[in-house]
Amino acid sequence: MKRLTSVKELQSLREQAQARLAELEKKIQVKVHLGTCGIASGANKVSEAFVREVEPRKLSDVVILEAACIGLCGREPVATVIDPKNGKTIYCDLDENRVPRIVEEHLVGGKPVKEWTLALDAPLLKLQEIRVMHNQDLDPMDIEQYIARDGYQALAKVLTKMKPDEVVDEVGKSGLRGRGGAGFPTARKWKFVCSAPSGEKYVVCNGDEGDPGAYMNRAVLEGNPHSVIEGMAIGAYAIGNVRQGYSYIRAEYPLAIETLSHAIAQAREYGLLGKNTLGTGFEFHIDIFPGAGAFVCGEETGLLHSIEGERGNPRQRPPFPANVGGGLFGKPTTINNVESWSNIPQIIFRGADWFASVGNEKNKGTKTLCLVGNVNNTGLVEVPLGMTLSKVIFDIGGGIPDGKKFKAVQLGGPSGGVIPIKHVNTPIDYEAIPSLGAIMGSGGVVVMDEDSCMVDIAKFFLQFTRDESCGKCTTCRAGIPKMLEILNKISQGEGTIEGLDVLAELAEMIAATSLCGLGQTSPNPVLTTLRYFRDEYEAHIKDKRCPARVCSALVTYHVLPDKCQGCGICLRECPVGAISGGKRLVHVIDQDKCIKCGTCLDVCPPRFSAVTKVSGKE
Amino acid sequence: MPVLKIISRDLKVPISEVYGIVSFYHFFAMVPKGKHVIQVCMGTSCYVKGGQRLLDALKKELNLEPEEITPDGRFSLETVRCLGCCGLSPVMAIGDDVHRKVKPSKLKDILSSYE
Ligand SMILES: Cc1cc2nc3c(=O)[nH]c(=O)nc-3n(C[C@H](O)[C@H](O)[C@H](O)COP(=O)(O)O)c2cc1C
Ligand code: SF4
Ligand code: SF4
Ligand code: SF4
Ligand code: FES
Ligand code: FES
Repeated sequence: MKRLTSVKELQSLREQAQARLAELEKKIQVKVHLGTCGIASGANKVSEAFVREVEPRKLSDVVILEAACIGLCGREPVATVIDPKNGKTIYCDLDENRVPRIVEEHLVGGKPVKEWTLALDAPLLKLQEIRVMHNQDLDPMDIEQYIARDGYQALAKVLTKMKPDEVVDEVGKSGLRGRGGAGFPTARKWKFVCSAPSGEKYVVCNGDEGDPGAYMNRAVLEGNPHSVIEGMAIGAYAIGNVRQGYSYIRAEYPLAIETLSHAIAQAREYGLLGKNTLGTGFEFHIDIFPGAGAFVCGEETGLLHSIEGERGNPRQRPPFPANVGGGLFGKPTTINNVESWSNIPQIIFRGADWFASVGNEKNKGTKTLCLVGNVNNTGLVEVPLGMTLSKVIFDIGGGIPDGKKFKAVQLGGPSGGVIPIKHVNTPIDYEAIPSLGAIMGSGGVVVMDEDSCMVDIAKFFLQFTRDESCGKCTTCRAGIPKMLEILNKISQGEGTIEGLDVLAELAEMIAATSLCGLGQTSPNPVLTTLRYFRDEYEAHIKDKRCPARVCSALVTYHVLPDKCQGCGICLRECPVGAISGGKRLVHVIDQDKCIKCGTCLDVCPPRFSAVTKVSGKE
Repeated sequence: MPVLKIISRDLKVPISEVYGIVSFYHFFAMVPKGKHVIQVCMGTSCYVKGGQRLLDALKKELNLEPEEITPDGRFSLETVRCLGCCGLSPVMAIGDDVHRKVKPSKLKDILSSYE
């Protein structure tokens, strides 16, 4: 490929690429979605099976393609078939054994195998507003497909038709707020950097995504890498004096790093990055920096230290990264989240008004969410900001599995909080969620059913922040373990009511005196569970009972004599030999030996259901 | 520790600093790894779906704590924060294979397929 040296050349390449896509659309396209979790579920085998089945049949009008993930994690492996007759068909829960029938009946016979498809009008799909994820059906390794979908048009537009401050104004008008957690207006942040005294400046993409249980940034990087590259280039132009950008991506995301590296190399080859972009004289380079897995490196000053080659310890702000002396290598720097960057090209290309056409008053555009935990449709979804939690959980998510009751939803990961059922009609936005004590965070939505213990969840997050604290501030380093100690006691039935007051005091102190967001927000999981589920804490303390039957010190397993059929399965499976019994005899659990692993409960055949778990006086 | 000393000598930085970096970032490990590295996901989604019970069962089954290696070197055990397959929780990776929706009662079968 020859470098593009003018916008005109980009336009003619777009036409060629569109013609090629149109040519494809006349054929029968099979797209196997090969994101990280698809591959984990065996999507590669499905892809191979399609090739194996199609080749000997010499089906000249069938093409087998690769595409990124479309977010249906719980239904992986997923493949989309697009043919002129039936349009789009989405197949879920595939394995290689299902492929021959799809090839025979659909690709050859022209009739989709209905029972394996996901209806396109299912609420799961219909209620979503796909914008950031709009290229997930393309091959992310092929820059020309991105170009066919109007990719790099926004960059061409700003370089030839807009002044830098017009770009910043357009982003400002769109109302875009940072998607990295706090929702800070992106244009305002850029203005700080613009107005810092001139000299070299940097743009940085925050792809650390450290919230354990969220992966929307990864999906964007794997599925729409050029949108991030284009967004950063536009930002570099708007801010001025920026020649170098960095993408900080956690090393746990090898596929994202590989995809983005490939995309950067392609963009450079096509003259869309590097010197003299599109013949306009604009120069911008992007390097990838793989982060070696520390949560606090997602904090902006920690991240900058990490790129500078030091330990990723946060530091006092101001100076902010936007200020002289506060950014990367001391230069003014803007740090934005992956999703923030990837929104930029569409804001410029389609206009601020288009972007602001969804959302609510102060929250415009869409947000990608990772819907996980005890919910039927787990996966990645994108919805207009301001949609209620209940719509996301019950309509898009399809509610709670196994007939269980919804208990709470956790937002914002270790810095966030739980929201109970009485607030489930709260809109998902940057004001309403914090008003309940949680935070938006990067978009992790963890649904919990009645079997989740709130003390245990608080403990879980606190363990996380304890392990991830960089240790610089005394309150964070020493205070979090203190809180954890109290929680541990409570979960062992040794807590006191006074302990709850101490917890609240510690929380206040840590929040007030810690240097960075990690420490400041670390008490949130405890504070919100205490606020909404105090009775559950009290049950642990006063009744020595874990109502959700999770805290192992407070639960015991028993065999119900009237139900046990003596099949012996539990005896065989118990890892510590705590169960005794004989053929057709009622089995008995030796409480002194039992390690409360729950295996017996899992393996006792449902038709007997002879094992129970109890806590307290039930 | 000897490795840290070498790094410290070759890079001419104090060993305390090398240790600081290595212990700070999860991607550096200080114990040898087994032939098959088992990573149990302890991310939020997996935790909510029983990741802790899975880990407990695995510890018992292999008689191993996280960051340890079996005497025969066959397995080493680690916990990780989110393998990025939260929709398939609880998740455990052995080498490059990701096992999804793992039940403690299936562990024996899974482990026996790794020599
Ligand atoms: C402990 C901690 C972890 C963070 N992790 C991330 C992260 O993984 N990704 C991210 O974009 N922002 C993260 N942030 C927020 C960043 O500091 C920063 O505000 C953000 O990248 C700005 O981008 P935005 O304006 O586009 O939201 C974290 C903050 C804290 C305090
Ligand atoms: S609050 Fe915690 S993580 Fe943040 S700088 Fe202080 S010690 Fe480090
Ligand atoms: S809970 Fe686990 S250890 Fe206890 S009896 Fe059941 S299988 Fe055995
Ligand atoms: S598996 Fe159930 S029915 Fe069978 S012996 Fe155990 S408790 Fe009894
Ligand atoms: S389907 Fe792509 S991340 Fe799960
Ligand atoms: S929490 Fe386990 S894969 Fe994400």
